[in-house]
Amino acid sequence: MSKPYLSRPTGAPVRHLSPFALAGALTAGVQGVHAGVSHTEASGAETSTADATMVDASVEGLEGGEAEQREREEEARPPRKVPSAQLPAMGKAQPWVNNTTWLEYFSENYNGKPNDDGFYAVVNYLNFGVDTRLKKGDFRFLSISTRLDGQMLPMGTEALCDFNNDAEVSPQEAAVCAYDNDARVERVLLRLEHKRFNLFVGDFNVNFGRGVALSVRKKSNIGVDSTIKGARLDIKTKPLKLTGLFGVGNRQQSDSATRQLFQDPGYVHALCEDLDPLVANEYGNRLWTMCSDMIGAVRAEAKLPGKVKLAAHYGNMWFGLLNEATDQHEALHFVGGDLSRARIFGKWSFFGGATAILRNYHHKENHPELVEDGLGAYVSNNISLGNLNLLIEGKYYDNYVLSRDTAPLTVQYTEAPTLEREDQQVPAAANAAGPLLRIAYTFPKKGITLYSNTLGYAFAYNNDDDMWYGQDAMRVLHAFVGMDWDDTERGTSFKLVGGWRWEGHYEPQPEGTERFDRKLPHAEIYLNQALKNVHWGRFQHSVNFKFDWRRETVFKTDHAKHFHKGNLLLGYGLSPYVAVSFIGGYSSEFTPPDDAISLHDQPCPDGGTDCGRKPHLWPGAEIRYNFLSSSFIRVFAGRQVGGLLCANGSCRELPDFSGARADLVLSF
Amino acid sequence: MATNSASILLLSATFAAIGCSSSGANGVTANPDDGSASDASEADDGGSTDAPYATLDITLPDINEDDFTLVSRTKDDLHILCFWAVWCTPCQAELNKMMPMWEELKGRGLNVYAVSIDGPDSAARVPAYVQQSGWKFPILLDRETAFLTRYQPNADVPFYVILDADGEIVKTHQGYVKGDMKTLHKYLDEKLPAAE
Repeated sequence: MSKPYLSRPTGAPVRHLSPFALAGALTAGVQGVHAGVSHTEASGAETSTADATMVDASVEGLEGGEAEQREREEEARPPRKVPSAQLPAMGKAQPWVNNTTWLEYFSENYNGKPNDDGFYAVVNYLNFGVDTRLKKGDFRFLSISTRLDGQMLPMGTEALCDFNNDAEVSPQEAAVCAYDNDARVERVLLRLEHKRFNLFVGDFNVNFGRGVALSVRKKSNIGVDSTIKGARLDIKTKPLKLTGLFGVGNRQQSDSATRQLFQDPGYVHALCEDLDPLVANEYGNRLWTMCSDMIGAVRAEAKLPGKVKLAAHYGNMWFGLLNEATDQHEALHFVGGDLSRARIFGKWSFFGGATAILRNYHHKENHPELVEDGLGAYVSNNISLGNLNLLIEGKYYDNYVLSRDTAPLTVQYTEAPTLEREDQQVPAAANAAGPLLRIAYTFPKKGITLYSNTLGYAFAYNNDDDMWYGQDAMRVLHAFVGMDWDDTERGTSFKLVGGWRWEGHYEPQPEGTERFDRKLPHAEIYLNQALKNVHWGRFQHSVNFKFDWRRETVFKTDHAKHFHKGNLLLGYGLSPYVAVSFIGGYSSEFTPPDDAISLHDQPCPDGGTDCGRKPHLWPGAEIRYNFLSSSFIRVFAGRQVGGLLCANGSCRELPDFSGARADLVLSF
Repeated sequence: MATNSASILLLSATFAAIGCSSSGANGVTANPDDGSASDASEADDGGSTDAPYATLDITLPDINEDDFTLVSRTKDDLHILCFWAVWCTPCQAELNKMMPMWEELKGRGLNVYAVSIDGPDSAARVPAYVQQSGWKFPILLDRETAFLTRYQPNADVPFYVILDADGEIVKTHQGYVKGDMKTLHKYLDEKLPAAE
């Protein structure tokens, strides 16, 4: 369900504002004009204030009998029915519809290939369902919903699939081309809630043990939206909560960054290899995802005396795709648990969890070299001492991969905390260990918080390598300080952040071996101010400003590359209807085209002239108009810089974008 | 051996501290008085001690990891589930502005809940941010975004939903721009019963 304009507002310095994150940053966090929605009521007459006043008048002062009579009348009075913003109810059933439509023009993605430039895409997600609040016995809620996805490439796919630009799509090109028109039932969910259990059939998210063990949910920043499709049962008793689930991995097919289509993870699974009807579609079954990674898991959470929570979990994953070396499937067990306690002595909240994996246990006999183990452990301590807050976290991940592999587009079934900020690259999330310390002090009367954040960890890119010592051992150090100021009286929100980051080899490299060294000072300033003295129209006026910058230095062997990167964002909000934004992205990482503006000299590597060129300036503008209760239309035109972006341990190289996007969200 | 003994002692002390906290008696499961950022006993729902009008079918863990069930104390109550995350700057601005509005209107039946959708990477920063912000209304956790998607399938924030005393949706709102709270305040002022 990811959108090109996903609202992922962030107050943090923006490492890469992806096509997904940028508009969110623009329209929300950065410019503070994310939505602002009309409060038009969709239906029904409003209850008058006068009536309410009369009904709720105090009984104080009335004579006893009269007061009792009044109380009886009050009890007999039906509830005040506030007009609903939804579609008209059908008895106890409340239907709803949410539709999102994108019209997109991909002008240029600066990848040097002409075939995937200059095309249009029309994409539509239609969500609809019925929610029913149940009042019989202990049954409480029943919801049935589905989402239909459609994608159309009006100019056809021939040019898009002609990779060598010879005006002909060869069978080889057709076989690997992922541009296509598509229509499918992407999401289905039946949810039944009972006093003692919840049942999910269809697509559901999951999060075991702060994400260390098993976590599947939408990762907006990188445009990955996955679920488990199957069944899940949560049983709730007073001391125990039990969860059991079984299903297959499901991911949204349409990639909002490129409009190529993804296959379901692990598709085609071994079980389906000889069942043609189930694998009739190249990307996954159109009606009900099947034949992809299979996942089964159970978890028990117990509340012990002293409000201690203890949990244990076990699961199995059977990945569908073949291992190229063995021509056999891969699988893993995971088992672990966690312990937590909130507000110890009223000040200390603790969480600690660990999960071990055993990969390819079934290869023990014939391919023992493929049997591996891994461990993931995470601990968090949050300590509040008056206005002082300490956060101490630690991670230890050793060959901790809950997926078939760590390829960028492989769905990862864990979100083990990285301790990183949202805007950072996260190297080797599956093979890293280290702590984080965050200290914050708040001046409550002034609405000011000062904080510092220090993170350091060891890692190795290859899971087989030693992360601590040796020539493959790497280190990250990242420290930043900041200030948040929020004055609700004046309508001011202000943030200031500055920091420094280093990544590199821990030990000297042998002569002739490439040495990696990345240094990165960064700064950010953000201001959102309500303009209370401006009274034009019937709007509430506000301005937004954000500037983030970093200067990056990357050393590789004897070659050092310097560049600047960041965004200047300006916005004006006319609440509740309109928001306009200008985004001035900039990046001098690559050599600019000869006729383009250059921020500074950035020669081609090795002194050549024939290198991939990209502009230094990435301007864009956006306007958003809100209507009804949660509906809006948003149009963006301009450029957006891509790059490596990570979300909870999953990383992806997002393409640059130049063109226009419009999205229309209708919600009833 | 000495190291092992010291480790065992340290571990025992840690578990003892975890299990025998004096604050354990403060929290009350499934009680709207619990779950705010401040000490459980400090939270104020603005309601009376009478039997509640209705218990809604919404139960989420609060910031203390206790189950918290929404309760309507009167038939005129309104509930605002306001979804936010520590990385969402406008969400925070919205809740900061909602705080004084809730304090003003809670006596008339307004209930506000700040529902965090923070995932694993930012979940640990939720208590710190709540402490910094000084929010007094209950802080609830929707880590799988199951409740957010129940009301907003796209799962985008800022987003809030207003429920009536029976749990029926009466209004939804996506996004936040400074000034939005004025419109919301006017809306609530009309919908809630007059102050006594």
